[in-house]
Amino acid sequence: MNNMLTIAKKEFQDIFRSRTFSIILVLLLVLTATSILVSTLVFKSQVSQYESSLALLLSMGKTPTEAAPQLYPLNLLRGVVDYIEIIGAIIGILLGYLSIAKEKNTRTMKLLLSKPITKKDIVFGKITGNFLFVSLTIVFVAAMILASFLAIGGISLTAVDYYKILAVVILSIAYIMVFFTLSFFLSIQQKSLSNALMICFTIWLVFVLVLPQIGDTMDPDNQVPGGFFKSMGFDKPQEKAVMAKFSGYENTRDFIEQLSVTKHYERAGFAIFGVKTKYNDMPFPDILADQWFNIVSVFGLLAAGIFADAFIMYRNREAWSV
Amino acid sequence: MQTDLLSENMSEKEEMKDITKEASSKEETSSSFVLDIHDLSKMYGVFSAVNNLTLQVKKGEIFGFLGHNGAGKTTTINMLTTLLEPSSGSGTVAGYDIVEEALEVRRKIGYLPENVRFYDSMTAYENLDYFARLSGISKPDSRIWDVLDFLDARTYAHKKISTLSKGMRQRIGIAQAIIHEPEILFLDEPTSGLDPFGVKQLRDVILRLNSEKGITIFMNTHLLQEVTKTCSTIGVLNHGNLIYLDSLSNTMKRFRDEKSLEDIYLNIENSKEE
Repeated sequence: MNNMLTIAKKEFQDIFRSRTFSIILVLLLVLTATSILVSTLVFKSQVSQYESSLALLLSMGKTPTEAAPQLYPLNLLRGVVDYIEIIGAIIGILLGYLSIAKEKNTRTMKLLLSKPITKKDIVFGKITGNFLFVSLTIVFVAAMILASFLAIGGISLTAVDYYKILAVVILSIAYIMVFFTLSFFLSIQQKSLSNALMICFTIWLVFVLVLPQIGDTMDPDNQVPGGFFKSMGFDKPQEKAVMAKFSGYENTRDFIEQLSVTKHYERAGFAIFGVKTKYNDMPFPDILADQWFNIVSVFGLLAAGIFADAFIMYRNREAWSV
Repeated sequence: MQTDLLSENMSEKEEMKDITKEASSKEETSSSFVLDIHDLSKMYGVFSAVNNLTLQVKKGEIFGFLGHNGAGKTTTINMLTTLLEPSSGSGTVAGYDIVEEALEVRRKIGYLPENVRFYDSMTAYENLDYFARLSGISKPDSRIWDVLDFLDARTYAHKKISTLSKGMRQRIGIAQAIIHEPEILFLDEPTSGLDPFGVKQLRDVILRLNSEKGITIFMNTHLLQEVTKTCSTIGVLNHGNLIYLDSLSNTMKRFRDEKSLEDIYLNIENSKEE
């Protein structure tokens, strides 16, 4: 246990000293704040638009039919989920790669393995150190969210909102760590470190960008800006009736999306933050129950990744060789 | 019948004597040999990197393991330091089996790989603190200063590793290898890449480690000059086979007609290849 903590502590300090990660961290924080501010400005302009059209209607002596735009503050966090999807995955990949590549390149992995410690200490020490760093990063992001809300003013969060933020924080840490474990695995398994990094970024490209995009592109509702069904004036039951005729197509689209851990993270994150309107008034436990598969998928992949890392470290008898 | 019983009793006694003798010789072996390997081999597919290596190194010796590049020296060290599992054969280091008791072996050895660069972003002290803790020392501070003093490197303690010269980095490397007071120190090409001054300084350190701290040293090298100045025994490895093993003084006597150790080395290698 002591050895594991020693390795974890060193790993954590090492990342903190890295300029690359300081830059990525600052970038993520700036993007978070910007995304919230932009979403707020968009919302405020919607409200002022509504108010001016309401005033116009009232001046004409007509009764307004459209409901006032409702502010669900957590809706403003859609961009944060999007950024974590992309930048978070890159952070995870770089952390996993550097955690092993540095040790191999400097030959310190040989030294580590010649010390009276087990491979388990090395794997779990490194995972723990990086987990702490990722957790701190996401906690910073959450703090930035709250600071941005405070800066904007007039936004009050309920206790449930805080729970929801906490849930997405935990989910985000697990999501980033999935990519960490993947990159960690490949960096041990591959003799060539550049190959390991190339495979990681190919996987990132496919699972973070391509697969979710294919799913989105295939979505009939996305064919028209603002939503196909909305533009046709269809209500939900009508939309469901139409889509029922394309169940094969819809299942294929869903299957493609489900291949990507990013999509599982996105679906759960959007549901918890109420980005999809149907979740806005749903009780939090019901949202979690509705999203159990996506949540379990992210955590399941993380568990599989940790297992794979431990397995490859034990199986690869020359884990130190480059 | 009586004769039979007597002879049976006698043979039993003799058997007991043999076992006792064996045990005492085992005791003697384990106490006098820090390193004891038998028929150690390492195969990579059909390629034999080390072939049936049998070798003993006595406590307090400085053993020079010679061989050209690719002879199998590093593979041997990797097996002895438990980094690699042998394909066949057996061996003990400091009395512990290199396969079955790998963790115990690692507690008893110090190791400095070839061209290790350490953690660049950390100071020499932080590097030593890290490795000391992993070697089982929970409060390493005083031990770190003792070792740095011994190596005359105190002034470099708080400098980042990346700013140190290669020679100084090697000294820090030796510091991490001896901080837990190992019984045997494995050095893989320790003078590789050092300037003549650095080589001399490191040689002095090796000799002092042996004479003042009593550490047995197993050193891989292809620099013959180093062997004459530091080692008490030499072994020559060629294509994974141990082709020569004797004390340095015997070697010098046996090949007295040769002008230098280099000639001796070439003589040994050529005679085996012929």
